[in-house]
Amino acid sequence: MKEIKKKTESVITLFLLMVLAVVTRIWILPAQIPETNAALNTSGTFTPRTFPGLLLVVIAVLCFVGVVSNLVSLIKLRRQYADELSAKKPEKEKKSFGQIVENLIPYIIFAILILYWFLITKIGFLISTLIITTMILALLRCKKWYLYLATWIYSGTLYLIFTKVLYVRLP
Amino acid sequence: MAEIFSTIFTFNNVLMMFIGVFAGIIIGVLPGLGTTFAVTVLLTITFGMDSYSGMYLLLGAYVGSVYGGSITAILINTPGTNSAVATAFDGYPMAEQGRAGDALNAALFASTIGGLVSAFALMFFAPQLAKVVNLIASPEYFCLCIFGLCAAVSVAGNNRIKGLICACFGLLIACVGMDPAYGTNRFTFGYYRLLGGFRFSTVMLGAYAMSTVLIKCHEAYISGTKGAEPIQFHRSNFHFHHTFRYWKTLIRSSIYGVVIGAIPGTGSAISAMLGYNAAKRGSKNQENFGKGEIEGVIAPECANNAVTGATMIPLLTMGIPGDGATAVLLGALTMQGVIPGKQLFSEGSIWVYAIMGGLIVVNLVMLLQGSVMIRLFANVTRVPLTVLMPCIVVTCFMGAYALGNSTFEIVVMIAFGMIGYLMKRFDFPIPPLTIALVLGSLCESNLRRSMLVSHNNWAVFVTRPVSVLILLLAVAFMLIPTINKFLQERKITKKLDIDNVEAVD
Repeated sequence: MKEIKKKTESVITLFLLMVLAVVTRIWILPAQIPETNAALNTSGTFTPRTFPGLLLVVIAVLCFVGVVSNLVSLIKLRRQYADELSAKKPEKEKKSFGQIVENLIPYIIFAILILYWFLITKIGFLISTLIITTMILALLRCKKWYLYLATWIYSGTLYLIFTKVLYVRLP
Repeated sequence: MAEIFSTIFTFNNVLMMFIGVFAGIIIGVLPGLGTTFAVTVLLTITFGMDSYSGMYLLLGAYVGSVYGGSITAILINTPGTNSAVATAFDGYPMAEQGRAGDALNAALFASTIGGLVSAFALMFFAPQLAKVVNLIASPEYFCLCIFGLCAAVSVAGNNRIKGLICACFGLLIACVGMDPAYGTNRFTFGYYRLLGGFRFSTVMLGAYAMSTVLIKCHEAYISGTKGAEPIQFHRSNFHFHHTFRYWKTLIRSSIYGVVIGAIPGTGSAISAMLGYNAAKRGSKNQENFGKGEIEGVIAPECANNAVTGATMIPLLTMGIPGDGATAVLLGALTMQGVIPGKQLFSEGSIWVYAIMGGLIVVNLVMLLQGSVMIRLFANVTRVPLTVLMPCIVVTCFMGAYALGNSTFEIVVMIAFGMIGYLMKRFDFPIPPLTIALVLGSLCESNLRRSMLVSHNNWAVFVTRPVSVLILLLAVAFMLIPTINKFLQERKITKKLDIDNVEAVD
């Protein structure tokens, strides 16, 4: 059953990538790579568009092959597990708030990273680092004060290394 | 010679080697982070260093992390890196039998010997290859790039279609910026910062380090602030000279490591596995393998460290990285203004020889640190992920900013962090993407030059003997996993048939 889920995911992701490659080839590429006369006159068929265009076609073709091959194996798997699939599905247990948060952790961290970047541009590295490291530690349910302290000391030391030893002007 | 010595043995350079090896072993010890991660994270602090110190720091991290993976493989059966998987087969049973000290020493000594052999191979073969490179023209160069990509796709995982898609995506990302021939803007979306394209180091920081942070934070949320239990040590009676009792294994594994390492796009995990299998086939104690045979530790450790110098052969001579970690090294070289290729060897510069000599010293530093600080390294696993993650985030943010002196680099790093996370989540291998990103401009410029010379005749790649040979090798690399699978299935079917016949009889 896990394999069926994986194959389904593969079909969807490869299909989406194929659409993205086709859209990029047809609309984005001509808009983003203007065809210059110089390129057309001097090199014949090899212009600045040729290589990325070729790559997009290859990506689209590979995605198509991937979708078809995954679909074939998905159909085979569905036949193999037909009995299990036709059996009445047990009602899904409602996920608790903790479980939902657990699944969303990578995306929450991603949002925190964007916030970190935003804070750096507004209030500088040092204070934003203190805020963000505290946020991450709190999100990861760290309750030991000395671990917070250790992280702050590490960040402060690194800040000093970058600014005083490597002469990087951090904002 | 004296000039090379005086270049290597400055206070700064030796200090950087020590720091690099130390950090490399620590990162290598931590499961899931790996060699490329170690080199990528340390790349951030090479900014502002001279090219020697920066390279020694990264080489230290590279060599140290390849060895570091073996420590946890032996002590807690959790390989710190992919290349240490084979070490766990016999290392952990040895630890269970109370011979952890012997296994750790054997791994350290074998790693050092493998690393030294590899460094000498680099010194010998790289200048020879550089002479041959002079004879290579654009079609062959383009075919070499394709070969590197095919090898990276072939070893990255079972799904070669996804691997190829990642390689094409990497080449596409390399197209972003100003076209080198006509100055046309490509995929810049009117944003001037994209005119120079994506900085390779920033993309690597995102794709490797940030994506790992996103994944590991999930693990840290589940595991909490618990570190591993204290690790038990046992006294060792295995000394350096004892390693040479297994000289046949050392030679065999070193050869595997050097050959695999010199093939662009491969890596230390394959050589370790091949080294282990070869040692098992050639050993008198075959039946002890998997049960705590010391030769089963020596073989993979020697083979995986024998890759470290060999991967630098195609890197320094042709600018083609041997694996993910050397792809980052290439980024570091570019950052320092060093352009790899035949000119490094032909201009009478001592730079390349100082780097080769430095690699030998780095291996000796690893031997020293491994002997003295093994307990400290092993106990790194007790530091909870909860603390490591924010520290890595801060390091990467400061490093990314330093790379371009702009917060734009941070945005790129975060974006590629998410792309890397989604790639790992949906089983798309990252190494083909990063290697393609490095090879992108080389690949396109040589394709363009070949087309120009041949008047847009694509047959140029199949009418020249060397390029045909390289292309055939690339195809063979792509087909090897399929052939292996087919042969294994045939073997199983045959065995089942024989069993059935015997059962009927």
